[in-house]
Amino acid sequence: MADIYARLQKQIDDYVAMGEVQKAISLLQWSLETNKEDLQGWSKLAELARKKGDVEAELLALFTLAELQSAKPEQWLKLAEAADAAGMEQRARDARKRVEGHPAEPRVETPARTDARAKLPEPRVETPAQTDAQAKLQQRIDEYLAQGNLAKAIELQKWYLEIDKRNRRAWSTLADLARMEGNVALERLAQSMLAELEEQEPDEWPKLAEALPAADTVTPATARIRAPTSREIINGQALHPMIEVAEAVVEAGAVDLTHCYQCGTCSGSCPWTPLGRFNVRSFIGRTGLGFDYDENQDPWACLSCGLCADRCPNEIDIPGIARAVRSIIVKTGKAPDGVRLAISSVEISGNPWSGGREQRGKWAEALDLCPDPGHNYTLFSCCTTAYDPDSLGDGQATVRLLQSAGGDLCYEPGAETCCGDTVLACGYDQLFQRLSEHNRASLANARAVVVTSPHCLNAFRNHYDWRGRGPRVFHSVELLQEMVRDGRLNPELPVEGRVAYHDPCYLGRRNGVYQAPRDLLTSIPGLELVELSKHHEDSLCCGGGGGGIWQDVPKGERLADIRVLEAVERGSQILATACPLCLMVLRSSVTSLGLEERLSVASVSEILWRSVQGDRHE
Amino acid sequence: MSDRKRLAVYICHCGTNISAKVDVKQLSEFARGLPNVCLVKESTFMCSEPGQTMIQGDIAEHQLDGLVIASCSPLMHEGTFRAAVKSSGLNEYLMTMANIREQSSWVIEDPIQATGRAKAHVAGQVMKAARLEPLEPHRVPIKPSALVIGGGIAGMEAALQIAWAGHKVYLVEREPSIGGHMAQLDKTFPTMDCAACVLTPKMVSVGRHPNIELLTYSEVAGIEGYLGSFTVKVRKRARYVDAARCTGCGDCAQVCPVSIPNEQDMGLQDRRAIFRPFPQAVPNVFVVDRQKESSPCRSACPAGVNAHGYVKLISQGRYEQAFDLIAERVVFAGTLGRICPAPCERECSRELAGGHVGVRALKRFAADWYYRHRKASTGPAAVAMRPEGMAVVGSGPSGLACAFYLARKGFPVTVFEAHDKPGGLIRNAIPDFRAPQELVDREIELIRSSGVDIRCGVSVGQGGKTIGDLFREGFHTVYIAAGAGRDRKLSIPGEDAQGVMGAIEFLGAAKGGNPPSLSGRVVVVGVGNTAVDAARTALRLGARVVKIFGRESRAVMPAFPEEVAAAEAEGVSVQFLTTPVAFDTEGGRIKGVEFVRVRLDDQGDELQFIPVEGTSFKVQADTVLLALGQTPSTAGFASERIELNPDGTIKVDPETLSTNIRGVFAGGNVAAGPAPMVEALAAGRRAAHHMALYATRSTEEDPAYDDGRGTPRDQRAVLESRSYQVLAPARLPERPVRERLRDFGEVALGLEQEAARTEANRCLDCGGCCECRLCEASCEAKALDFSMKDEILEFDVGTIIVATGFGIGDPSRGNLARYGYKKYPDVYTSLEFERLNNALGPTNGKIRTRDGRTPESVAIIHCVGSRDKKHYPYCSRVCCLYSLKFASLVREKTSAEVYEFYIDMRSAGKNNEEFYQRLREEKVHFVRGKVAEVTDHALCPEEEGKLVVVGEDTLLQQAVRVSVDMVVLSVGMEPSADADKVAQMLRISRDRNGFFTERHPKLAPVTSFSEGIWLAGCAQGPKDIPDSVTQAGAAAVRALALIGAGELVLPAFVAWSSNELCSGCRMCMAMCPYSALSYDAKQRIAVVNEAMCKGCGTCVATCPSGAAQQRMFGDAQLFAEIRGILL
Repeated sequence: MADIYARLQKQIDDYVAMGEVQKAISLLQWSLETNKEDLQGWSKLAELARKKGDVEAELLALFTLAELQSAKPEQWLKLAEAADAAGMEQRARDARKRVEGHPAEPRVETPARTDARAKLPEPRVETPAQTDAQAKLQQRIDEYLAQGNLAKAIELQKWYLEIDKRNRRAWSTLADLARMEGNVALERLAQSMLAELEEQEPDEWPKLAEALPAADTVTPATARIRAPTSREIINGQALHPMIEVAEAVVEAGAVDLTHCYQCGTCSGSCPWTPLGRFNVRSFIGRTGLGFDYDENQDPWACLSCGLCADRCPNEIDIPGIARAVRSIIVKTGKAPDGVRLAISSVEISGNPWSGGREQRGKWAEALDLCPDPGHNYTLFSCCTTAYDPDSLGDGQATVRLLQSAGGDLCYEPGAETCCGDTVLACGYDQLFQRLSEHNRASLANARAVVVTSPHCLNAFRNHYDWRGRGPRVFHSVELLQEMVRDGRLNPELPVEGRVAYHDPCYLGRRNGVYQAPRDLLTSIPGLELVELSKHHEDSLCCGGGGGGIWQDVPKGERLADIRVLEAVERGSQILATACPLCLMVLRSSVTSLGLEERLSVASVSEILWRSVQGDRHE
Repeated sequence: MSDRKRLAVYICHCGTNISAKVDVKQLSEFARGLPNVCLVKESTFMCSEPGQTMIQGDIAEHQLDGLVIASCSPLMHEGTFRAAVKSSGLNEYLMTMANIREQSSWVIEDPIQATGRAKAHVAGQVMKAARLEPLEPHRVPIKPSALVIGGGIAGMEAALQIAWAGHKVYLVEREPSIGGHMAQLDKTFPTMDCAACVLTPKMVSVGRHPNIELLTYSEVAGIEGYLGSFTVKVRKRARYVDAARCTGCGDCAQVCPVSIPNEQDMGLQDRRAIFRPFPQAVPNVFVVDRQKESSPCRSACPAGVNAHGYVKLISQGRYEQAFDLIAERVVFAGTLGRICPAPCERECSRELAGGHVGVRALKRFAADWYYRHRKASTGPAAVAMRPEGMAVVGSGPSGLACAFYLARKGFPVTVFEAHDKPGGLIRNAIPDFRAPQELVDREIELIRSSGVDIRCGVSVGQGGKTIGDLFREGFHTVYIAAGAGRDRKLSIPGEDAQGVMGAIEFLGAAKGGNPPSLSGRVVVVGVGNTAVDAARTALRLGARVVKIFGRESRAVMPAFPEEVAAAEAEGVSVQFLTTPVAFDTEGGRIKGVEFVRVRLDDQGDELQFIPVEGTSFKVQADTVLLALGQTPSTAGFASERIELNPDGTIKVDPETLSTNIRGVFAGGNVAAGPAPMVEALAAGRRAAHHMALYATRSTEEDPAYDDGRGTPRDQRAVLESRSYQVLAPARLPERPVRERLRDFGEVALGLEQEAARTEANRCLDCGGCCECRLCEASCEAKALDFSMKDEILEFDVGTIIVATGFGIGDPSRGNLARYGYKKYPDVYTSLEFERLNNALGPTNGKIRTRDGRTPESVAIIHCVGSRDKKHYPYCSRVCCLYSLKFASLVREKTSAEVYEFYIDMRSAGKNNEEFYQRLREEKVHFVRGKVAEVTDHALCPEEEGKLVVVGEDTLLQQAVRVSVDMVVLSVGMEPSADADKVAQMLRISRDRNGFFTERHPKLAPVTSFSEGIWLAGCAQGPKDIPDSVTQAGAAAVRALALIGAGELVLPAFVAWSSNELCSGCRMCMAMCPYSALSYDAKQRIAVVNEAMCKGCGTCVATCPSGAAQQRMFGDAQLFAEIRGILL
C-alpha cells in the first residue's frame, strides 16, 4: 500500500512540475479517497486548488483539514467568511454550525474502518460543486478567452449561466466580457441580474422586467477586421460540434435529447414543415451537436402542440427540448419581443394581456359568484377569459351552465394569477415556479377546481407539484358532459346547422379529453357535428400554443387559416372549440380572412348554453 | 482449521484486459502471503493451451490440494479449467475461480481500487479453496428421442436433422398443417425464388419420414420431468375428420355453407368451416373448425335451436334439411316462426352491421315451405318401441313437445286435453291473423303422425281424471303441462261488472264458433302481446274505438314493438305509464275506467310503478278487456299432494322438471308461470329426456340434458375478424290495413325464396361450423366423425427444441392508426401483401387494389412499429429486405412507381446489399424519412382519389406528399401470442421484448436457460429464413449431441437436504424455481432431485432449520470466503 501511495505522490508532483494542475488535482483527490487522513495531501490539494482558481476544491480541502485537526472556532469562522466570499452558502452555514454549540468532535477513526471504507467507492465530496458540463464549459470559455475569441466566450458564458443561474461571479464575468465587447445592453442585463441576486427582493422583479425589453438592442459581436488565414478559408461554413452546449441543454431539462435518431417522424408530422417555417428534426439534430440555428430552426417557432412527441418512436419530449433551449435563450435577453412583453405583463400584473389585477374579476360580476371556498367547485378562470372581451362570453356561458345544473361554484379573482403554462413552455422556469406557488397556496382549500382553459388544466394536472395534496381539476367540458349525461342539463332548443369541432392540443393530445366536447355538441338537437380532416390525436394546432399566441406569423403561414378555411369548405357554419387561446386565434383568422358572414367561432359552452337556456326562461 | 493445504494461485492477465488495470505483480505478491498458498503464477492467457498445461504440470509437481484461478467470469472458462484439473488426476471441484475481470478490472476505473478489489477476490477464494472437498458430478441418462414444438421452417429442419440421424422425433404443430409463416410467403429475398417450391419438398419429407411422428392441430399441454427424461402431454384437437379415411378430395368443402376468414390469407379471402389451409398442406387432411364458443343466436335460444345451422341451410336452398334441423329441438316451427320473441335476433352480431338477421322470419319460411311441399308426417320413429306408457296432461306447446320427443324415443304417448281441440293457448289465444288455425292443425298433425295419441275433451286434475287415475290406467310416467290459461284479476271495485272481461277469455271466445260482437269503445288494460292481440281482435269484431292503457313505457313494454306498431297502424291508440284505479259502472254495466299516471322507478331489481298524485283521468268504455297476465289452475293437482310454489305454479326440480311425486314431471307455464312459447317447448323436450331416463332407469351413464346452447362468441370479436358489407335486413311484407281489418287473415306475409336466401346470406357465421352436417353426407370416404373428442397423448423424450415462431402485430393500434390500416382498404400489412402476390391468394397473385385496379404507384413504409419505444423497440432485421422484395415484385408485375420510405437501410447479409443496389437500378425511389401519416384528404387535384403519404425527406430537408394507390406497411415481428404460456410451461426465460432468451448471445445462441431445451428460429428473436434454418440445424446438433452421449454430466454443486435436520415444512418446495424439490410423505422430508437442481441456493436461504445445503457453497466455505474478502 505504502508503495503505491508513494508512486501516486510522485506522479502528482510530476504533473505539478509539468503544469498539468487539473490532472494533479484529480489524482490527488483519488489518493485522498483511499487515505482520508493524509494531512499533507489535503494541504497540497488546497494549494493546488488555489493555483487553479478552484475555490470550491480549495474550500473542501481546507474544511477537511480543519476537521481532521479539530480546528478552533476562530478558524472555522474564518473559513465561513471565505465560503461567504465564494458565494457558498451551505459551506458557510456548515462552518458556523460548528462554532455555535457544535464543537467538532475529534475524529478518531480506527485504521480498520478506514481500510474497509477505502474498498468502497465513496460518494464524491458533499456539495455538488461544478457539474461535468459546467466544468467543461468553463474550460472551453477559458480556451476561447485565451484565443481572444470574445464572441464565442460570451455565448458560452450565457449557456454556463443557465446551468448555474445564481452564480454571481459568472454574471459579473459576463458583465466584464460584455463590456470588453462593447455590448452595452448585455452588460446592463448582466448587471441587473447581479443586482437582483444581491437584493433577493421579489419587489425588484419589475425593475428587471423593464430592463429586459431594452436588451434587444444587443449588438452583434464586433468582427475584427483583418485578412483571413488559409485555415479560416478552408474552415468556411463547416461547423465544429460544441458538445458543451448540447450538454447545457440537457442540464436545462432536455434529458432525452440524445435519444434522437433523426428518423423524421416529428418533422413529417409538424405543421410547420410544409410551410418551411420550422424544421423540428433539424432543430433537434443541431441542438444535439451544439450548433447555432439557421432561420428555419428558430426554437421560438415550436407551438408545443405535441403531435411530434406523440408519434416520436423514441418517446422524446420534443416540446421539452424547445423549452430547455428557450430557458437558456431567455437568460440572454434574446426572447422575441412579443414573448418578452407578455412575460413582463405576467410578472407585473399576473396576466399576459396587460390587464390590471383589480380588473380580473370584472367579466364575472354579473354572474352571482361568491368567493367562499366552502363550495364543491372552485372556478379558476384563464387570463384570456378574464381580459379578452371576446372570450368572456365563453366564460359566462360556462358558469351559467354549471350553475343551472346545480353546480356549487365559487370564484375569487383576487386570489388568481396566471397558471403559467405558457410561461413554462417559453422557458421562464423561475417565473413559472413563483406563479405555481401562488396558485397552489390560493387553491390549497379547494375541493375541486374547474377551469375554462386546457392550459390551466395542463399546468395543474401535469406541471404543478401539489405534493400529493392537490384538488381534482376538471375542464368545464368534462363536468358538463357528466351533467348532460345525468339529465341535470337538458339541451332542448335546437341549434340548427353544421358544427366543426377543433380539438385544442392541450385538451386532446395533452390531456386525453376528446369525447366530452363531442358528446356535448351531439346532445344538442338539430346540430350536425362535422369532423375536420385532422382530428382527435391527429388534430392540427391553431398556432396559439407554446407562446405562439404572443408572436406574429405572416399571412399565408397561419395554421388557424387552414382550420377556418377547411371548416368553411366542409360547409359548417360554426367552428367550435374549448380553449380560450384557440377561440382567440381562430376568431382573428375568420376576421382577417373576411369570412365573418360564413363562419362564426364559438366555444362548446356557448353553443350548449344556446340550447339549454330555453328551459330556464320558459 | 484443517491441516495445512497446498494451494496454487494463478493470475491471468487476460491479454491486457486485467493487467492494464489491476497491478498483477502486486496481486501476486499479495497472494504469496496468503495462508496455504505454496505457489503463485501469472500468465497472459490462463485459458490458453500453455496455461492449462502449466496447471496440469504444477498439480503433479507441487502435489497441489487445490487451485485458485484469478481470471474471468466462471461462466466463460470454469469448464476449461475443471477439465484441465481433472485430466491431471485431481478432483475438479478442488478448483475455484476469482473473477478479477468482470468484477474488478472492467468495472472499476481507479487502478488502485481495482487492485484492492482483485486482492479481496483472490483472498476470498484462497480461503474457500482450503475448505473445498472433492465432489462427484451427477450423471443423467438421456432418452434417445426429441420433441420439436412448432412446425415452421425451423421446426421442420430440426425435426428432419434428428430423424435423419436415426432418432425418434415428435413434431407438434398447432395449425392443421405444418409450414408456418413461410407457407404464406410468395417469393424469398434476395434470390426471388418461390417460397412454396423450396418449402413443399421439405414438408413432404417431414410428413413421410418414419422417424417423425407428426402431431398437427395439436398443442403441448404440459411438460414434466427434466433433461433426459421429459414427460410430454399433447392435446391432439379433434379434427372431426378421420385422417386415415380422408383422401383430401375436398368434396366436403364444396358443400359447406359457412364462410369464415382464412387465416392463411390473413383474412383477405374466406374459407369453409371444413377446410385445409392450403392445397399442399401436410398432412393432406381436412379439419372441421368447431370453435369452443357457439354462435350467439344459438346460445341465446332457450330451446337451443341451431339457428346458425338452419339459416345456413336455407342460404343453400336446403329447406327440408333446415326444417329437420329445427325439428330436432322444437315442434310448432311454423307458429314459433311467427310469434317467438326471438332472443336469438337480439344477440345476432349482424345487429351492429345493418341489423340482425331475420332468424324468426327464416324459421317461418322453412316451416311454411315444408308444409307446402312435404306431407305433414314424419311417420313413427325408427327406434324399437318401449313398453312404458307415457301420459301428458295438456296439449299446449310444452305438452306436445314432450309427447313428440318421447314418441321419437319409442315410447307410446297419450296426451289428454280438456278442450275439444288440441293446441292449448296457441289454439285458444293467438288470433288467426298472427298464426292461422290451419297452420296449427298441420303442426299438430305432424306430431300426431309420429305416433302421439291425443285425446281431447278429457280433463285431468281439474274435476275429471286424477293423476292417480292415470297411474292406475297403467301409465308409467306423467308430464303435467296444463299451462296457465286463467286471466289474472285486478281486485279493484267494479271488476265484476258486465262488459269487463279477461283477455284470454275474450280471445278464446273470439276464436270459438260464436265470437262476441262488439261496438262502441273498448279499453284494453295492459300492454303485453295478449293485450295487443285482444285490441286488434276487438277491432276486427266491430269495435269503433280501441284504446290500450299500459303501465310500462314504450321502451320497457313486454309487447313486441312490431306488433304494437301494427296495432297502431290499424287505429289502436296506446297510452303508456297509466294504471287503472277504479271501474265506473252503472246498473251493473261498465261505463268507464279511471286511470292514474305512474312513473317508473328501477332503483331495486324490479321495476316499480309509482302513481303520480293528482293525475287521475277517466276514460269512457263499453267493454273493458283485462290483459294482466295469466295464472295456472293447479288446485286439483295440489289436492293430490303435488307440491306448489306460493304463486300457484307446480314446484319442480329445475334440471329434471320432476315434481315431489315420483314419476310425475311438470313443465311449461304450469310450472314456470307465463313465459314465451319457446321456453315451454324447451321444457317439453327437457322433460322428455328426463322422463325417458326415469322410465328406462338408466342411472349409470345418465347423460346430462344437452340444452344445445354453449358459451356465445363475443360479437365485437366476430365483427373485427370479418370483412363485411353493412346490409339492411329483409322486411316481411304486410297486407294493407284496410284489407286486413276485414277478416282474421294473416297480417304479415312470409318471405319469398329469393328474399329468404338473401336474408340467410347475411349471416356472419359467428361460431364457425354450424353443424348442418352437409359435409358428412357429401363424404364418400365416410371420414367425417362429429363424435370425435380431443385426445391427450403422453410420451417421453430426452430433449426438446422450441421453434414456436413469431407473430405479426396489428398496425392499427395506438399511434400507428395514423398509417390508415383498417381505415383505408388499400393499406396492407406485409403478410397481407405476400398473400396478394401469392398465386393462391385473393387475387391469384396479381397486385390489385381492393376495387380491382392495377396500382400506378405503391408506397412501402418501413419500420411500422419497429425501433419504436411504444411498440417494438428492436429492429426485426428482415423488413428492409422483404420491403425491397415487394418493390421488386411490384416492378416486375406492374409498371407502378415504388416509393420506399425508410429510416436506415439495413441490408447486411450475403447478397443482400447487391439486391438493394439492383432495386435502385430498377428505379425504385428511396425516401429517407419515417412517414408521419397516410391520409385520403386531398390538397390538390393529383391527390384526389389517392392515398397520400405524408412525411419529410430528411436528406433533402424537404416536406413530401406522395400520392399512391396502395400502401404496404412493413410490420416487424413480435413474439408469438402464446410465448408466455410456452415459457412458463418449459421454464425458459424471455427477454424484455418477449422472445426466448438464449444462454449466451454469442457462445450459446441456441441454448435455453433450461437444461436440455434448445431454441430455434424466430421464437428466439427476429431472423430470416437462412438464419432460422441454420439455427435449427444447430439446435438439432445440440440435441443429437446429448442423445449421442447417452448421458449428461451435471455440475456437482447442487443442493442437498439433511434428513436429520429437515422438519418437512416444504417452504423450500414453494421457493424452488426449478421444481427440483419433492416431498417424501413417508419420511416427511424434502428430497432434492439433483438432475433438476440448478444450484441457485434459494432453498438453502429459505430453509428455516438449516437442512438444505449446497455443495461447494456450504456455510464453512462461504464464511471462509467472506473472511478472505475482509482480510
